[in-house]
Amino acid sequence: MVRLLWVVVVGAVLLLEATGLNFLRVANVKPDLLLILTVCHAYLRGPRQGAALGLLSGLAQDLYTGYYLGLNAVAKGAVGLAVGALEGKLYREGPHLAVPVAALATLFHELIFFLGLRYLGVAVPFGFAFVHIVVPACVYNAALTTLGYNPYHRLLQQLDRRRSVVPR
Amino acid sequence: MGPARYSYLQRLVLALTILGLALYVMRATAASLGNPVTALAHELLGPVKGGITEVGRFVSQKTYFLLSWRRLARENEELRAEVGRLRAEVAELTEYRLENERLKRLLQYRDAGPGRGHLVVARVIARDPGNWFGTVTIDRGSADGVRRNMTVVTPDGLVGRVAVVRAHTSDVLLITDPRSSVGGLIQETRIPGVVEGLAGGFGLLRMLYIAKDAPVEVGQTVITSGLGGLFPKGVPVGTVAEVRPEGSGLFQVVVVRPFAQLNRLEEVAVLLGTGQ
Repeated sequence: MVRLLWVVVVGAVLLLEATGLNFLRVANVKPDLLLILTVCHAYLRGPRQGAALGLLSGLAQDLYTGYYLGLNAVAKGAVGLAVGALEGKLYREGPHLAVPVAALATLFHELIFFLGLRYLGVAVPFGFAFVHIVVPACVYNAALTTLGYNPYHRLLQQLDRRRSVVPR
Repeated sequence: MGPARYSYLQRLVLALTILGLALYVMRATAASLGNPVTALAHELLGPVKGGITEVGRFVSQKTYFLLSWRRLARENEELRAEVGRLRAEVAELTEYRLENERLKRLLQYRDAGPGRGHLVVARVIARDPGNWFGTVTIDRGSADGVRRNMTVVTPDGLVGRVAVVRAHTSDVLLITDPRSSVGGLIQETRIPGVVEGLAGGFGLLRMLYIAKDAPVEVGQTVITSGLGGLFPKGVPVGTVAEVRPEGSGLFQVVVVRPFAQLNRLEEVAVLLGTGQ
């Protein structure tokens, strides 16, 4: 049931990214909500769940766009794994450390994506990509993590409490 | 070899296998630009996407208005002045068009302006969810006569070409997508080049393979050259925004600002009969 819920959440967020979020571009970039979700989840739940949600999010994005199947899955899965490795090592009761982690995770994600594009023969100049896509995306995603981290943390805590009360 | 080390090696082999498989699938699906799962998802979600896009557009317009009323007032003044100038220009161009049509009839030319008499107006219902690629989904498909590689325009200028066609929706590859390549021509000097996209969300293009001594100036107009056969000749692409030498020293890179507002597309026209 919980797994199905994640599929629905990822689908809804993806739909939002492809439609409504286009009007919230800042400095030519829009936020990557699926990446932010993956980062927050991995930061709070560890590498297994982080990688799983990253892979699911990326795969959904790949299936939606219909090309380069696996590119987003690999990038987001790797981010989930890397951020998840920090679980329990950093302060998690507030967004203070999650925000810089989100910025670094975005940098990592975009660099993997850039290398993937190189591998696939899609030429984007590195300097241009870094200044006009990577840096603004890092700032934007980090800013939204500031807003989204605490509510997400509370939501997961509530889900945990409910699961411990309701008999399986 | 202890069990811990064995487990580590097992995981490494598994990770490398998955990565290898993913790299293979990525390349295998590079050219497809569409698969049955994607097609089904787009067809089913078409009306939903249209609705959410409209909500997003409404919120964006209201927010934009609230945040930038002072700039809007200044823009309004500037636009009023420009409307006056453009009205005069339209009147002049209408004269040229009428004259052109009369001459064409005299010479018994067919209206070959490839497909321009036949177009389908489509609504943009979704965009690529990421920042790197530039594709939009439109609410017209093969049922409306849309075919792959047809040219897509707005009244301002070139938008791109149809990359994937489904029954009732299609995906358009924008000229800002890094995979897009358009044969271009500087209108004033007739210097040809190739106009390529940089990144989906980025509002500029680059025109390549222009000799370093070619006379290119900021403000000149870039149109399609018709070379390559995908795009009809003479469709306005954009204006030259910057000219700088290219790394090798043999060419110069011309940065082009597209006429069409590609980040704020609402309706587009698909030119039927193009892209054969």
